Amino acid sequence: MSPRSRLAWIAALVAAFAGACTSAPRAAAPKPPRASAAHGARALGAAATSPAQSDTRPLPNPCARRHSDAVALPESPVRQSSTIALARLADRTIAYVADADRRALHTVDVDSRAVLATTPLGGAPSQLVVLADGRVVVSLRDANRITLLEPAPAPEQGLAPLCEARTPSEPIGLFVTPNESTLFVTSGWGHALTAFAGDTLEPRYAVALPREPRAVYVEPSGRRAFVSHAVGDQISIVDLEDPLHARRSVDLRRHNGENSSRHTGQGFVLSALVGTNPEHVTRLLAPMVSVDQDAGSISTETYGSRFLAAAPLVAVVDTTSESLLGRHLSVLGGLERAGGPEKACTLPRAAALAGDRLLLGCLGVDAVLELDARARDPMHFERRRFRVPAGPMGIAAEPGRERAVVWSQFAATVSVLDLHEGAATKPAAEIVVSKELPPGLGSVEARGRILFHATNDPRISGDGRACASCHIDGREDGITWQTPEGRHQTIMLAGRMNEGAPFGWRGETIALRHHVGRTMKRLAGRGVFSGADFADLDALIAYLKVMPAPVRVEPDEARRVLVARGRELFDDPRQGCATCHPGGGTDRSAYDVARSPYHIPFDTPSLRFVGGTAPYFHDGRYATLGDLLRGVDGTMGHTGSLSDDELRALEAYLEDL
Amino acid sequence: MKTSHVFPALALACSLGSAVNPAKAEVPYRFEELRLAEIPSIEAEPDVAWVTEQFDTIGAPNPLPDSERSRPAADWSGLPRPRLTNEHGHAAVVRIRNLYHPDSHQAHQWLRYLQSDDASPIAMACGPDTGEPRGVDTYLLEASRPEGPRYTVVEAWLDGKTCKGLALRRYQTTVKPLAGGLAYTYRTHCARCSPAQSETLHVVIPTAMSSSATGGFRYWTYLMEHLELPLGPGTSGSLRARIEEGSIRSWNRVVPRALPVADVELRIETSFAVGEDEPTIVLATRAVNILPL
Repeated sequence: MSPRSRLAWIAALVAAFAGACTSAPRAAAPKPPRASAAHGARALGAAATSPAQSDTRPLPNPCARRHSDAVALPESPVRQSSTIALARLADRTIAYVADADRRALHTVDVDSRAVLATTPLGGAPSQLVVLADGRVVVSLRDANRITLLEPAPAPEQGLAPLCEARTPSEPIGLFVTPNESTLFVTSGWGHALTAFAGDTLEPRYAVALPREPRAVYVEPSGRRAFVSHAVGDQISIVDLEDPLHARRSVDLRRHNGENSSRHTGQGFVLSALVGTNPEHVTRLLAPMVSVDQDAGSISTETYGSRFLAAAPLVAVVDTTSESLLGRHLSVLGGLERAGGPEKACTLPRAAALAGDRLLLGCLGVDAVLELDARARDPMHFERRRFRVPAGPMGIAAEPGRERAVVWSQFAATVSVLDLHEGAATKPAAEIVVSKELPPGLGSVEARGRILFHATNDPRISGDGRACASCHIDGREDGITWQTPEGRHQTIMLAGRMNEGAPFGWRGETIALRHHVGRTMKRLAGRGVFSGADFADLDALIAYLKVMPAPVRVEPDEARRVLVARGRELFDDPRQGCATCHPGGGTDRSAYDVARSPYHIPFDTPSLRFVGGTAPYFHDGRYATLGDLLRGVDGTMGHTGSLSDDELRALEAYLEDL
Repeated sequence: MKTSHVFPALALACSLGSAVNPAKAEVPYRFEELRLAEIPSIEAEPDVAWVTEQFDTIGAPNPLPDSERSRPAADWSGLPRPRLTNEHGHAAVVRIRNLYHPDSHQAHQWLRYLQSDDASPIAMACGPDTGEPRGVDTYLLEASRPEGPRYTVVEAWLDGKTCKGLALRRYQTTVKPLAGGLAYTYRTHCARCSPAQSETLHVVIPTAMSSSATGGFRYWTYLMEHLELPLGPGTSGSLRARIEEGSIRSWNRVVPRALPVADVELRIETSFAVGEDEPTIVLATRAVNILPL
């Protein structure tokens, strides 16, 4: 992205959020009054300010604390968000839990093992962070907002909303700078890092990032932000001192000393290893997974290698040289060296440091690994592992007390781990926050979700890959896999599964059950055979149909006009886009769009959410939608006669689908 | 991130009892603190550049470059004898390099099994008819030396006809025993090398059932092996060795204090981010079960 276009993007983004600050609230409860334009955030739940006051005095900051009673405070400054965070109130340890399924924030007393309160939120919370004065910032992924809450004087009373602010689509990771002057937010679908004023939540600037950013860490000097990505072979580095916030990256493509056919993704967490000088963080630990899109695949019927396709690792980033410590990733030994499919952490989702130990929460195997954080690759230096309930999505450590708490989303349970040497490797306590299934997720779908993330199910794959390994968050990993029929890109699932048959790039199956079973066999799984397996297959399919789709953001007026123009072009018979993609969907037919010598027809895929699924075409030959529109003229619609402005409009429409 | 850990022999002894019980295979690692400054360091030249595949005018191998002949001659009789232990009972390794590929690591790493005339240990004879000059490495670990453990490295061209060697590199250093004598270690510093290659950690251990080290291994014989890890800024390394009780038994013949005879895993991790003051070294061991092949 050129500096000029970057500036334009930033300006548009900031303008959009600034404009949003005074807009009416959508889902927060209770209904808040309109916020003052003097503050970036919308006030929530505050007493109305009298006209006289607003005429004569500066308006009170709606984000400020409203009572002065003691509340739980973070014992050690944890600036980085998770789905669970700890705070201390007198001699009690309080855990705040972001429960995305129940769209609520739980307050849990870790010592008495009691759920003290459940605070409903205006959206599904991704993560949270506790500020120094006890207020809690929560990112609401499906509401495109962050919200700031204040604990009630008694933790049993829950938290009250103070203010909120709009973000690019799908806010996830949060980071508060040491002086709390700035709050950084990553947006997954919106692929952005947004800075907000820490005291008012007023948007300051936004930086465009590559796809699917997740965790963010800002070094103590405040000069750089490091961002992990769920897809895309890199860790982004944003220069916060640069007026244009230039972005660099740590290249994660080098494996075993060379650039290979491996890709590194699943970067959901990022931890700073603090050494002797806390002000100078020299290393970041990024648990990730490397997969081989090519090796051994040409003569097999698999996606990627039948063996060792997935190799979990912890990339250690040298923050000074902005490169991998050791210059490359080592995947020798791959999955087997990490314990084999039954033990390997191929879906890392949560992390926390406890001294020189990295606690890593792993979906699929439902375990927390205690790794030696000082190792060349901590993933290969496991000191012990704790079994935890299904779906560990967050960890918070309490190093002074040699314990940690883990939030298991699928089981709705908080586990307390005893980190003392020699202690048992099962949780010291398990606190179930709710025994009822969350709304919109029945028992069948809940079972399907567990299966979707199962990394050691021989029915699904032969090498420990889960559905979620390639379909990260139900989406896709941006990888074009070598298959017997050529390169095929992982296809988006979330939000598209109700579009109907046929399925697969070749449209080879018309029943979803058949297609899922076929995919399992291509992953060297044994597929499904028994009656119990069929029940699981039905559960998996049920979950596919309800998994959350990406969250769109409301466009501003200029964008709305552009998208409308793009829609006209899309529907124009001269371009012919809508002929095969009526309404952006699919005509359920197949065409030889690749014009290969073998005349292979490819199924018309739905274009829902196509804007966030780069690269494009079945073989990923186009890096951007713009490249695609310019490259397929005559073979897939007719775009050759369109001007650059018209192509941009068409692109905008596709991005909006 | 300045300190490293080593476990004491006593701790190993305590943990070994459980090693033979398959139900307790997951024995925790044992760590003990070790300071970098405690590891002896010696200035060393970069690795010797062995010249490969030189031939004379009629095609016969002639691996000793003329330029090397100008080096001062060394009396081979003063160097360790080619056998597992020298006359004083110290561990010694002599490796004769492959005649045609003296620089090839690959050409040497299988010698342990092949036992060809290039293998180590072998007997060597000198005399007018004993052939061409060969590259020869000698390594001597004097673990039981009363003044403290010492390690000697000599890499030389040996002219079998004259029984004289031309030393390419030679150094002698004290070494620090780790894990109660399970490993001996020292550092080399190379002023002429790149920063990343400027510092190397050397580890001498009993021959392992399986081992790997990021910096590779210098040799691997029936008695012991010598592995290397990078210590320069911007580098990281990992050493993992699983040593059978049989190797420990042999090792006990050359170390001053006998180790418990059991299967054991040794881990050493090195890492040195550019912005850090010095490298981090983590050393840990644990009892394991090594299944027979």
